Parts: sequence; C-alpha cells; structure tokens
Amino acid sequence: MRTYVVRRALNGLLVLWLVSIVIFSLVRILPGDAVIMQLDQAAAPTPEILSRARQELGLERPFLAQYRTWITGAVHGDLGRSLITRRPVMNELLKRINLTSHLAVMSIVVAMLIALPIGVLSAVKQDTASDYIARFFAVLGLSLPDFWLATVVITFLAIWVQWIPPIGFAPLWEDPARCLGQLLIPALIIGARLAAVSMRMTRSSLLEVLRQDYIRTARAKGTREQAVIVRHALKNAFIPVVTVIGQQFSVLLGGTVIVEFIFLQPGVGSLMLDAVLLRDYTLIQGAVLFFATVIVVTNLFVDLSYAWLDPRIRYR
Amino acid sequence: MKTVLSSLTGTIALITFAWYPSAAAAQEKSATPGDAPGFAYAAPAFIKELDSRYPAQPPVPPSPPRYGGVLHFPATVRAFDPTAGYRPELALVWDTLTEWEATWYFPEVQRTPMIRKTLATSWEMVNPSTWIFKLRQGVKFHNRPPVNGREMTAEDVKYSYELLKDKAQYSTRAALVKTIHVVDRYTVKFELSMPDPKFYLNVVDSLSPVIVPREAVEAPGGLAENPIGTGAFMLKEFAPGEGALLVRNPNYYLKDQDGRQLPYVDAVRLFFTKDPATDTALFRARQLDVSRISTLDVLYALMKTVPDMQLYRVPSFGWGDYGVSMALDKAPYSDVRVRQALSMAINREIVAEVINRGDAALYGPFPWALAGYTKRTDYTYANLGPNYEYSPKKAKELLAAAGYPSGFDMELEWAEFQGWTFNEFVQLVARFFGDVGIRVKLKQLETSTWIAKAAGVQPFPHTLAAFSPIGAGPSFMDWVYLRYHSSFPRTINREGITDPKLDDLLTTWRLDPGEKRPAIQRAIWDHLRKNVYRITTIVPPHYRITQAYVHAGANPYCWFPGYCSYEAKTAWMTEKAPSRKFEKFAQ
Amino acid sequence: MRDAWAEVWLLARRKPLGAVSAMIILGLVVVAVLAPVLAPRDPYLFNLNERGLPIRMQAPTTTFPFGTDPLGRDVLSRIIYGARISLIVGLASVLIGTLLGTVLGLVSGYWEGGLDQIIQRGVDTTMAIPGIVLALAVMSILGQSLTNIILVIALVIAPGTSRVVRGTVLAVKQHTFIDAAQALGASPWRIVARHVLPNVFAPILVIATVWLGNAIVIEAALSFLGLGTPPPTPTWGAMLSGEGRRNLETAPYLAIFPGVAISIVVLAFNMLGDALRDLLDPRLRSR
Repeated sequence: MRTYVVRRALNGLLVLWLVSIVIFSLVRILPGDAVIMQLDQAAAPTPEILSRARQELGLERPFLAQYRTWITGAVHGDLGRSLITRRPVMNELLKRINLTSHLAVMSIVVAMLIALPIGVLSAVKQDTASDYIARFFAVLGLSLPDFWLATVVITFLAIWVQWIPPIGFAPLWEDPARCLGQLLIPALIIGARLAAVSMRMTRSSLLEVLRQDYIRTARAKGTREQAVIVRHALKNAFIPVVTVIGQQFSVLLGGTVIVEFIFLQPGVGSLMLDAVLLRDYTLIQGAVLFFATVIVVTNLFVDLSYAWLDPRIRYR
Repeated sequence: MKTVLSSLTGTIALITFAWYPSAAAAQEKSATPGDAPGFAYAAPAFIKELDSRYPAQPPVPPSPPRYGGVLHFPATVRAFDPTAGYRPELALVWDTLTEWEATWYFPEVQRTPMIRKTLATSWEMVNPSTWIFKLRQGVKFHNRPPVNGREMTAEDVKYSYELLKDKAQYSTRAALVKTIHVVDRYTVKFELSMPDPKFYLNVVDSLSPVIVPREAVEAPGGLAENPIGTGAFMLKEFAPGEGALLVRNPNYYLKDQDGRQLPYVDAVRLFFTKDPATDTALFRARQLDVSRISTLDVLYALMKTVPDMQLYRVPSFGWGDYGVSMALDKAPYSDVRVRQALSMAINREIVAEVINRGDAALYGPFPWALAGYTKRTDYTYANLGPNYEYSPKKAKELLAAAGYPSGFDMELEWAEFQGWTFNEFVQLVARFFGDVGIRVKLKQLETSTWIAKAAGVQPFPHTLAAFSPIGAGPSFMDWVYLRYHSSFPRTINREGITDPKLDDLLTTWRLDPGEKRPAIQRAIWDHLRKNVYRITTIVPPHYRITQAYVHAGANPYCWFPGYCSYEAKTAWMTEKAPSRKFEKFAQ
Repeated sequence: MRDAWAEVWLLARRKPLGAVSAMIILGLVVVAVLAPVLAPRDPYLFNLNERGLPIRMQAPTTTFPFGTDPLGRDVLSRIIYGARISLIVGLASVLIGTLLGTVLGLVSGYWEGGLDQIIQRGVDTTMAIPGIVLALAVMSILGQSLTNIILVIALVIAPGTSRVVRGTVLAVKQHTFIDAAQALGASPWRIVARHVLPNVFAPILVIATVWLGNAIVIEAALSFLGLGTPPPTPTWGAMLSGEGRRNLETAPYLAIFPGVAISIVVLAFNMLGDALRDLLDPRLRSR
C-alpha cells in the first residue's frame, strides 16, 4: 500500500511539473503580450516606449531565466505579481477561489436537493410514467445551455422585479444573508444542470444496486421495500454518485465562466478568461498551476480511496 | 423541479415578449420617412420622438444641488494606477492641469467647449513653443500616508510629466512636450518639441499626464497600493474584476459657481461589467445610475421599461465612427482609384440603418468642425464629394481602369469591441465590396490583437475595420496633423501615409501663426477627401442615460463608454435616490 | 432483411424515448443534407424593402416565418443551414476526438509499460489544464475558424475517451482468452480487432452520442465569448449567443428559434445515448 501511495504521489508531482512547463511555454506562444493588450484605443506609443514597458515587466529576459524565477517562487508559495494589476497573484487567486468554492458548494447542494429524491423515485418506479417524466426533464436540464438560461434570468428578473443579485462578494461567514442572496440564483442555474447529471447517475447506480443478490436476499427475507432501499441500497448506490460529484467539482471550478460573467461574480473561471485575453502571464500560470494542483490532489484521493476499497487495484 | 420551472417560465416569457414589440415595430414602419435632403439625420418617426422628448440641451435641475448619496456607474478599470495604464476613471482620484467643463449650469458647453481650471489657474503662451502655466495654490494631496496631505507644487507637475510622458497611454499628448522647468513654487514652464499655438488644449482631461506625488510612486507597491492624488475622490476599495469604491475627498479644492465645495456625492461605486445585458439589467434594477449605451436598439428597449429615464444624446464630434483602414504600402490599395472605388461601393444609408436605425451622420476624413462645417445640415454628400456617394457602377469602372476588371481578393480583419457593432458592419461591407467584384474574406481577431493593429503596433495584411484614429477635443493637431504627416511612426500615423503634397499642406498649417489656418484646414480636407486614405462611413451619436434621480452634467467631448467619468465630480442625487451604504464595496 | 426490421421494431418498442430521439436525429440529418432545397431563401441575402433598406428584425410573419435578423436575413433559412454546420461541428469533433482518444487508449492499455506511462502523463497534463485556457490558447494561436473550433472540441473529448478506452482494455486483458490467443501466436492487431475493439465499442458509442450534443453547446458558449464561428456563417450557437442575446427583449424570436433547435437536438442525442447505454450494457440485457 505504501509503495502505491508513494508512486501515485510522485506521478502527481511529475504531472504538476509538466503542467508548469506546458503552461509557461504556451502563454508565450500566444500572439501579443501584456503590454500590447493593455493599449487603450487612444494610445499611440512608439516602439521604444513599448520595449521599455516590456522590460519593466521582465518580459525581455531570457526564457529559462524567467522560468527559473517563477518556478522557484511558486514552490515557495509566491506566484509573482500580476502583469496588469501589479498585485500579488496569490491574493487575487485566493479571493476568487473563495467565491468560486462558495458557488460550487452551493450549486452542489442545490443539485443534490433536486437530484437525489428524484433519482431515487425514478429508479424505484422504473419505466413508469413518473420515471419517464423525471428523465425527460433531467435531460432537458442538460440541454439548455446554462449561460443562456443565465441571460434570460437576469434580463427578465430585472424587467419584472427590478432586482438583480447584488454585486460585491462577501463570504458566508461574514454576511450569510447577503452571500445567499448574491449566489442563490447563479447556484440554481448551475445546480440545475448538475442536478440533471446527478439524477441520471443516481438512477442508474441505484438500479444497478437493486439488481444485486444481497438485495434479493433482503427482499426474500421479507424486509419492507422501503427498508430495503434505505438501509441496503442507497449507501452503495451513492458511491459512484460521490465520484461524479468529485469530478463535477473540478469542472465547476473552471467551468462557470459565463455565468460568472453575466452575474458579475468574479470567480476563478473569469479570472482565467481575462488573464488569457490580456496575456497576463503570471496570473495565467498561477491560476492554471493552482487548478492543476487541485485536480491532481483530488485524483490522488480518489485513486487512494479506490485502492483502499478494492485491493486488486493496489497490486497492478 | 427547478429545471422544469425555469425552462418553462423562460420559454413562456420569451414567447410572450416576441409579439409585443412587433406591434410597435409595425407602427414605426407606417410613419413617413424623413424628407430631409441628402443624408444627415434622415430620421424616422422614432428619432423624431427622441428629438422632441430629450432635447439636446439637458434641462437645468429645479433646485440647488443636494449633498449626499452614492453614485453607481459601470467602468472597466484593470489597475488603479496611472503608471500601469490609463482609464478615464483615474480622473476621479488624480487630476490633470485642466478639464472640460461638464456642469449643468453651463449650457453653452453643448456648443462651445469650456475649460474648467483644476490644478492650473492660468496659462500664457510666451511663444508657440514655450508655455507658462500658473498652478492653484493650497491644493492638498489626499491625507493618507506616505503623502499625508501635503501641498501640491510645481515640482510635482514636473515629476509627473517626466514620469508619465513615456508611458504608452499618454504618449500622444506628451509627444509635444520636450522639457518642463519649475519656475517657482506655483509656476511651470513647458518647452515644446514643436510649436503649437493651441497647446493649452493638450493638457485638458485624462488623456494627458495626471499629477502624482513622488512619495506614493516610490513607496513599496507604488501607486497601485498607495493610490494618492489630488482628486475629488479617494480610492477606498479596489476589487479587480468586480468594481471599486471611492469616497469623497473632504479637502477637495474645487467649488461650484455658487461657492459650494465639490463633490456633492458621498461616494462613487464602479462596477466592472463586461456584458451589455448586465448593464441594462443593472440599470433597470436601479443599481446603475449613469450608463452609456451604444445603439438605438438598446435605448429603445430601455425606454419601454424605465420610462422616467433621462437621455443625453449628442452628435459625435468624430469619436465612434465606423471605418476601414487599408494597407497603403502595397497594391492594390496604393492606387488611389482602387481606394475611391472601395469608398463608392459602400451604401452609407444602409450602414446607418443597420448600425443605428438611421440615427447617424456622414463622416469624412476628419471631424467636420475642423474643416469649418459647423452646422449639421452641412454634413452632406455635396461637401464630401463623389467618392462618398454610393455608385457601384462607377466603382467597377474605376477598378477596371486601375487594372482589376474582375476584382481581387481581400482579407478584412475585425473584432468585437465594446460599443461598436463591427459584426454587422463588416458583413455589410463585405457584401458591398462583393457586389463590385471584390472577394472578401472576413477574419475575426481577438479584441486585444485588433486593438494592437488599430494602434499601429502590429501590421495588418489587407484591411482592418476600425474607428478612425482619434484626437481629444477639437484639436486639429491631434486629429489631423499627427495622423497624416509622414514623419510620425505607424503607432501615430496608422496607415503610414506618405504624401509629399499633404506633408507640405500640413507643414504650412503648422507654421502659420493662426489667421490662414481655417483656409489651410479646408484645403487639407479637400485633398484628403479626394485621396481617400481611409474609408469612412458614418458616425452615430453618443447616448448617455441617467436615472431620474440623478443630475449629472455632460458635454459633447465625453465620448463612448467611460470617458469623462469625472462627471461624477459635479453630479448630485435627489432624495428619491435609493439609499446606499458605503463602508465597503459589497453593499 | 425482414428480421432486421423486426429487430429494430422490437428495440424501438423497448426504448420508446430512444426511438423518438433517433427519429429526431434522422430528421436533423435530412434537413442538413437537403438544406438548399428546404430553405425558402438564401441565408446570406439581405432582404431589402421598397426604400432599399434592409428589413431589420421583423417579427415572424407569413413572408418570414421565423422573422429576420438585424441584417435583414431570413431566420428560417439560417436555422436550416445552421443545421448543417451544427451537425458538421458535432460529427467532426466527436469523430476526431474519439478516434484520437481510442487510439491513444488502445496503445496505452494494450502495450502498457513505458509508452503507457508517457501517454498517460500526457493525458493527465492535458486534463489538468482548464478547458477554457486550452480553448482560448488554441483559438489565439491558430485563429478563429470552424476547423479550429472542431479541433478544440476534439482536444477536449480525446483525453477522457482515452482513459475510458484504456480502462476497458485493461479489464478485457484480464480475460484468459487473450492469453490463449497470444499463446496461439495471434498477432496483436488481430487480438485487438477481434477481442478488444468489440468490447470497447459500446462505451465509446455512448460517449460519442452524448458528446455530439455537448459539442453544439460548446460551440454556442465559444460564440458567447466571441470565439465562435466567425460571421457570416450561420450556426445556431452564433445566432443564439450573438444577435439572439443582444436583442433578447426587443426581438426574442432571434433567440428562441436557435435556442429551441439546440435544445431539441441536444435532448435527442442525450436520450439516444441513454437508450444505447441501456441496450448495449450486457448485464442489463438479461433482465
């Protein structure tokens, strides 16, 4: 077991290192740079001015020197300063992650509240009318693009109620009422889609479990159907659901860009989008490295828990 | 079942709204089209309604200004640091030597630009290359460490100009300044690299270097972490990507004409919105008090749902036009016949109709006013000449004469840019060019790449859909001299125009002390409209909307989204304004 | 032949939702192929009124059943032609993505060892970089065009597919008949073709059908961000995220029609994927 853990951890570190190299080089291949991208339509700089601006940002140093400075800093937790705002990348990242995590957690809660009861119902009443209706609406939830739903919601909320979610993030522990008011609607929109995915997963996983022998035994013993489901089936059914949630969490971390855009909730997704558009190298590198670390660590945990549950995997 | 509810509600809502505006549209169609001769403001019924409902002169508020309130408006500020980049909102924290007057009690500003004296109280031209500016006494920087409210002096002006004149954002303005001398504590002398009898126009508003204190720049973190200036507001909180909160500077030196200290509002909250739909929604929800909108379609939608909205609508001096730049150094664009043909191929009526429902003015090689045309009725095809009139037949003849009887291939580059609908413009242009035999391939660029090309930093192979290079205010130097004289680099003279006859005319203009200038300007206009170095079409007016409870002045030099945000300095809110807190950005 | 039809009918009876969605997709293909015949007008034509100005944003009427867009083009024709592009985007990106993923997964899973490690680390690295950054980077470097959008989506699909394929291959390899085949001297290609591929086929098919729908939504999202198919090509995504969104209040039909089209097609693909998964899962078949 220990060798397995060590091997997986080393793999993770290797991947992180590869990611750092790939992203460092990738951003420098992109046409343009931070100096050019920040030009206003009224600006009219000479080439010397541009060159001097680049030097100030450290963009004219040799490639390897730049990489070395950055990576040594990163290993110590210093991700450098944003080329645009001149503020430390780490601070900006943490603030955004705060918001995105809030949004992600709330979306997952919303999704679970919707998906689990409906998924169970759908599985228990398989192939009946309620099953079909539930599955149909689940797939409908998957089909409507969430950014489109967000636009519709924000436009018509403003028209009908003259209200939109307030702007300016306050974490849950500082101001719960405001935090909820701000994030509830985006969380509903994102959660709706997540609910659709989770509901299908719950349903198929529960169906699978219900077919198992030990369920048949429990039924044969005369246990009430409800007890069968609750006591025996649900627990095992939720394992793959939890996995899906874990996967979706990392998707949520980077994938809510457009909803953030529309509701003006600056999370990690829009940070990365803006950073790439403005060629803010340090910010892109820092955000991507952080994101990759989250994914690697999550995968590590998932692998380890599988290995712990299923001994065959350890000895591959 | 939220999924169900939201999708059902959304669909029903949309279907309901689908048929509502069609009735209004039908009504609009039955109105007789304008009978105005030629082009300018041939406005359908809706625009006539705008003209009467929102006269160009904003009404004077009925009562003296009220203090208090928090003003909200949208902006895009990436860094609150004049050394890192320029945005008009920086003018809330840092002042320039002078500004354009924008208060409501100077109605003349709608016709005549007036300068508001901020840090400079008077100026004097010793000779066209030497200018003396006298500074206001007793101006204090914000009372925060490390500057701690000390007085601003001539040393600060010299320091600021020397620090900022090499930064990309200020270089057009600072291009003219060679050296700055401190004459005494409150007097500064500018030595110019080129004589300019109108140099005082150069230091007006935020495109010129702002005055910053040395201690803040040299402190750890620089101005980004010590945003201290002399401005009407102090930066309290800056949340990149979200917004900023600025609070009133209690020691601001400016007073209004009745002696009341400025600013009137307690605080200003900026929202860094990215999406016009969000802007509109925020305005409806009374979260935004002032906003600028780019097209009539959006205005139309807002008028229905915010009926008590105020609109400031002013014809554009020249900012915000739709044009096409060409790579003049290579064939076929080096041939004047080809350029004339391309210009003739475009039907500017259709462009105006599509871009802004017809509410737009013809635009030539530079602002009409600089060529001596001051009345709107003068903005005609007659004064622009045949190169600007729609005649695809003549265009084809010219192309054939130039050696392209079966046309040629063109790559037209463009990008989405907030405030413009280049998307529709380039499709129209491609269609028009296609009709005369030119096969256009549209190439969409990333916005920042496009800005780089429009700024002359990167070349474009064939053509680029972009606004014309702008100047600030009514300065011929900015709009024409710098942009067309061959001695300037591509970052200033975007297409790299080298025309010896034009250079002569421009030099004559520069050397002339003043009396003959109007005639020379007209001659340059005539030369440029014949040579069509840049294809120009139309320029829509500027629209700024405010809530009924806000009184904000404005002037015609406040152009597209964001500029002249320092109107906040003289804006005030009635007691009907929503009460807002301002301890932190998150309300 | 009759047996085949009878079999299809039986399948349809068992999975009615799947049957309906298959019909919808068939309809989509027909519309896409027959677009020039079905579309009432040229989707690129600016329809002009008697004054010579474009008939902008006209609500649906008998002349223009789906209305006109801000440039005066017929929305119905654009939707019909848009079916082509959406189908092409979906098919091409999924084809390329799953093909690439399958090849990588097969190679990785069957031969294991050093090659497996290299490929897997590459896959891990790609999956650790956020999709939005990859998409933006590719579009910035290569430029904005339909082909590059297909490429970007394929790049998103490939790594996940390769992992699934690799897992399946590893599972299949545990079966003794592989060893037997190897012992008998069968070449690796034969083993892969005869034994591995059939088992891999089912999960890939399911993934592919779902991704077909996703690809269309991703194209719409890219259009939203300004990175979609450049004009004047009519795609549902560009229509929805471009003029649809911009004119949501004044001309909602510009958004409704492409939105409904996208939703129906994605719905159909998802349900088809569901049905296929149920049908192809060997354990469920014996129920």
